[in-house]
Amino acid sequence: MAKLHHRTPERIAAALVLAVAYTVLLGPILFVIVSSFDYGQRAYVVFPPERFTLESYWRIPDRYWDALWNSLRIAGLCTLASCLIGIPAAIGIVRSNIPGKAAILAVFRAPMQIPAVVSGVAFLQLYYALGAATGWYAVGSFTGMVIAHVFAATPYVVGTLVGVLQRFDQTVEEAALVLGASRLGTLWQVTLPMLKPGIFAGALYAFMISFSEVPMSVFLAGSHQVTFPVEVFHSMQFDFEPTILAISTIVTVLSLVVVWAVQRVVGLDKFVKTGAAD
Amino acid sequence: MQSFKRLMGGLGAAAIALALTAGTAAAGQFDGVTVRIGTFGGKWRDIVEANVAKAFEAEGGKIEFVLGQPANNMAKLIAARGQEPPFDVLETMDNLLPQLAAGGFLDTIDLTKIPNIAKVDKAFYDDKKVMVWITQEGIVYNKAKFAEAGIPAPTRYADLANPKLKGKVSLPDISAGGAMPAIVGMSHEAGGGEADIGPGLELVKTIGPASFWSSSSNLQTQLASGDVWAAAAQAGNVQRLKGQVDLAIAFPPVAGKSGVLKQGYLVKIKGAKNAAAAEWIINAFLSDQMQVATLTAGGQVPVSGPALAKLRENPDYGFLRLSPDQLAGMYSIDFGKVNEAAYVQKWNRSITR
Amino acid sequence: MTRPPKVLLERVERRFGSSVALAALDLAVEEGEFLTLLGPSGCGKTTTLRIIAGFVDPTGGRVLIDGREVGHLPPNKREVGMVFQNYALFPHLTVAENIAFGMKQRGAPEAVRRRRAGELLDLIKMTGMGDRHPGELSGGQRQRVAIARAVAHPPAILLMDEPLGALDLKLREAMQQELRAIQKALGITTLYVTHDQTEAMVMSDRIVVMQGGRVEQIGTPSDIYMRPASRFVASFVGRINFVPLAADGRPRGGSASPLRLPSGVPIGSRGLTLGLRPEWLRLLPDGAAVNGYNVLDGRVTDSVFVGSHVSLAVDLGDGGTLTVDGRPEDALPAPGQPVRVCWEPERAIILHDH
Ligand SMILES: Nc1ncnc2c1ncn2[C@@H]1O[C@H](COP(=O)(O)OP(=O)(O)OP(=O)(O)O)[C@@H](O)[C@H]1O
Ligand SMILES: [Mg+2]
Repeated sequence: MAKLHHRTPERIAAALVLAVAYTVLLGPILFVIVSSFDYGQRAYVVFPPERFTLESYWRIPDRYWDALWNSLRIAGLCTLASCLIGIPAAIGIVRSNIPGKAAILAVFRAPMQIPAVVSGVAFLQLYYALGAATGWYAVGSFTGMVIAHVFAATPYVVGTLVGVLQRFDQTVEEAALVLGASRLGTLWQVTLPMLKPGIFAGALYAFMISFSEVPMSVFLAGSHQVTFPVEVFHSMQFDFEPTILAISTIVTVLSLVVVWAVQRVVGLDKFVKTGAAD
Repeated sequence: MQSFKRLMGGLGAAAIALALTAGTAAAGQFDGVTVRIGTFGGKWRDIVEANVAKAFEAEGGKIEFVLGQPANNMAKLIAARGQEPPFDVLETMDNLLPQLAAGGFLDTIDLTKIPNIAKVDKAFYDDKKVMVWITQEGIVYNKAKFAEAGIPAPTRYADLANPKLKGKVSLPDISAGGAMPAIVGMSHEAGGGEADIGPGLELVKTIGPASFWSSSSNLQTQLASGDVWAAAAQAGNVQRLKGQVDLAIAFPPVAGKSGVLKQGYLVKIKGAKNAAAAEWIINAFLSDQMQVATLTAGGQVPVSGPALAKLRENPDYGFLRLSPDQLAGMYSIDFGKVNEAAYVQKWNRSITR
Repeated sequence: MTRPPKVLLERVERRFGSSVALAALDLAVEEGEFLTLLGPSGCGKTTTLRIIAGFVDPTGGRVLIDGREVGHLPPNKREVGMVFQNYALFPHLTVAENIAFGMKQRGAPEAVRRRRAGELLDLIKMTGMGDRHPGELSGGQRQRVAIARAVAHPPAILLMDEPLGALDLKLREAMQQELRAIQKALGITTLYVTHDQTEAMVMSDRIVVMQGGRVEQIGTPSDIYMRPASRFVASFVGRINFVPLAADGRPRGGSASPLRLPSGVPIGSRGLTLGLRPEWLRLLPDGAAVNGYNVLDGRVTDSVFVGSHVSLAVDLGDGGTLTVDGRPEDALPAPGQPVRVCWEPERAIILHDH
């Protein structure tokens, strides 16, 4: 933007494409945010808002907050578990020379190919069968929900990491070894830090998958724990409430802040800049 | 004026509530009992919480909600087949009853333990199911726009084919909750019925709606903005948009009756742990307090006589059919003849967008 | 006086399945020297380095560093330094952290590491660039950092596998000088791999010419050039003309008179081959002669200007062709003209046919 005087047709075209892309991407979000400031106990979204009030925010029912907190815990645990399973799995798949690597990778990718509704019903059946055998019923439980989310999210961690690992230049690890680092030291000081963007991307994926999962969670939610999107889904099915816009706005802003903060803490910008040149 | 009336309605409901609580039995008959209700989420759950769960808690019991659409909750039930069911009482809809019955999920309800059943028309319950609310389906239209354009108020679905309404009509998409009553209603009008929806689908094509609405929020947005003047939909939309647009509902003749009912039921699930409390809960759903709130807070029409009488006094609800005779004069879909999967196929084949 | 070599390979063999990458290789790298492995692609150079570093296990033979056998040691216990063709710098660490990486692994305190990194940055002429990341450096700078990193904790031997292969010609030549200077300044024993013979000549104390997993010849650059041990070495290092001689000393298949050989070379019963470098040959006008020189008659068929010299092809009429370097400033015969090629008898390589 600082170089407006350098306008050429290509630049203008690029700017237009960018503008359209941003409008398409951000339009719905802005629409929700702006609309959330009009509260009229209405059955529908008002845009542009006819007045400005924070009433929608004051009226957010507790069940949204409870569900949001529950979702954050589930997504957090799901992210952790998906990474703990997915990262070693991806390293094993790419690095080891065990036979049938393609088959193992296919198994890890399978959950992405099953429609989530089918997975939801399958988990429901599985949990009941498990309950009949063990006496422990995972249906409607926090643990049961986390397990199902890990099932859905792990493929994304594995997929991202396998991609990164396949492009990973292993001579860098040899360099570390020959410089006196042990295998573990190499993993810790070189491999993992270099995989950081991939791990971060995979973890973010896992979190998003869990946080926005509806089709499976609808079956697995219980009387004591409902996830946020399922709660919103139920509310929308019965009737539209303006408070949905308010809580959605809060969640949107929260996500932006979190991504921004994580990026700062992890120091991704710098890494991406230096890593990209090699 | 509007809000004053609402206030009065609220006060009336509160008075009934007080009267009821004063009359209930001694506290503690359900000490330590937890009943699980499979029901809708969102605001409806809040209404049940306030008007049923509170009273149950006063008896020492506790209610847990297993939220989901009826079909969704039925899937949970099927998954748990042969084991303890996920809920004791299920709130479901008319279209799923045949499947629930065929699956052997329905337990016999001891109607003698439901004193409030006396307030409900005998046609609305038996020992397997008790109706607790209905929605009234017909043609919702914008009175002002019709007057402006010189269009007479609709009386039949075919009236929506009026050229003056071109581009202003919305019909439910096959996936919407309002699809079944609209398709069945139109089929009867066009000479078919539950077993033959071909004529109804032809009528849909003749009307050539500007849009197919998929959710009530979606329809309400279009009605409020004036983009849609008329829609096959339920009466609740009129109430929901009060103050935004002046809507009315017309109930077209359907198989000798008028308008279509969509019905909400409570059923008792076979093998339920707390079967004893199920009847109490059903009774509470039929309490005057809950029945009034069903409409005032939930937008669904109740079924119990005193609540209907109470609500008839409120001119706000004048657009609804609230007398027992009127309700008996509305058409109930014969789900024994309905094949939902076939409906979807036929719809997809004949209705192009 | 008889110190053990810094690195000694004894009959080292490496097979990959049925193919033999190294066949009973014997090699000694002496303390402080710059030894280069030179050979065509696939001859086993990289495999040799990786065996010394410990990334590849030999299928036979022994590897000794400072007289100790290291076969059982993993790479991180071998005290070798390695420079990779693609640099293999750690992208997430700064230049200084890259350089200090090896010292850190050995527990050197922060202050020592910082001082040493500073010294090395001075040495590689990158003073003050320690805080940059590798992504912010040019190719030549990255290569210098890679070298500094490999030598920061002084290794017993520095292994470099085509470290300049990724650089363009100009930079490569500059870096050859610089690399050699750094090596000399540190006095570090170096085993270098290249398949560029000029680079090997310019940089090395000694060159090992390899082919097919075997050593063809070990010697100083001039040994290799002037006294190649085999036809392969002679043709691999520099350009050369081969003139096969019959037992009577005449070029085989031709009508020329017998040629004089360098003093003390007996001509065997089966004859031998003379190797003549193009720059040893001179052209004379048809019929002219220089006393004591060997002479062959021919006709110029091609003349190519290469800059430093003109490369002329002379057809000897008997099927043989000689390549002769002429000085551009001289009046050189044009293609089609008859010429005489002459050379001093002592300036010839004798290759016995096996
Ligand atoms: N991991 C391996 N598996 C199978 N064969 C191998 C392996 N590594 C090397 N080889 C073979 O061993 C031989 C020597 O390979 P090496 O990499 O040492 O050659 P090089 O001299 O370094 O060649 P270049 O100049 O092309 O780098 C080659 O024929 C190669 O194909
Ligand atoms: Mg190599």
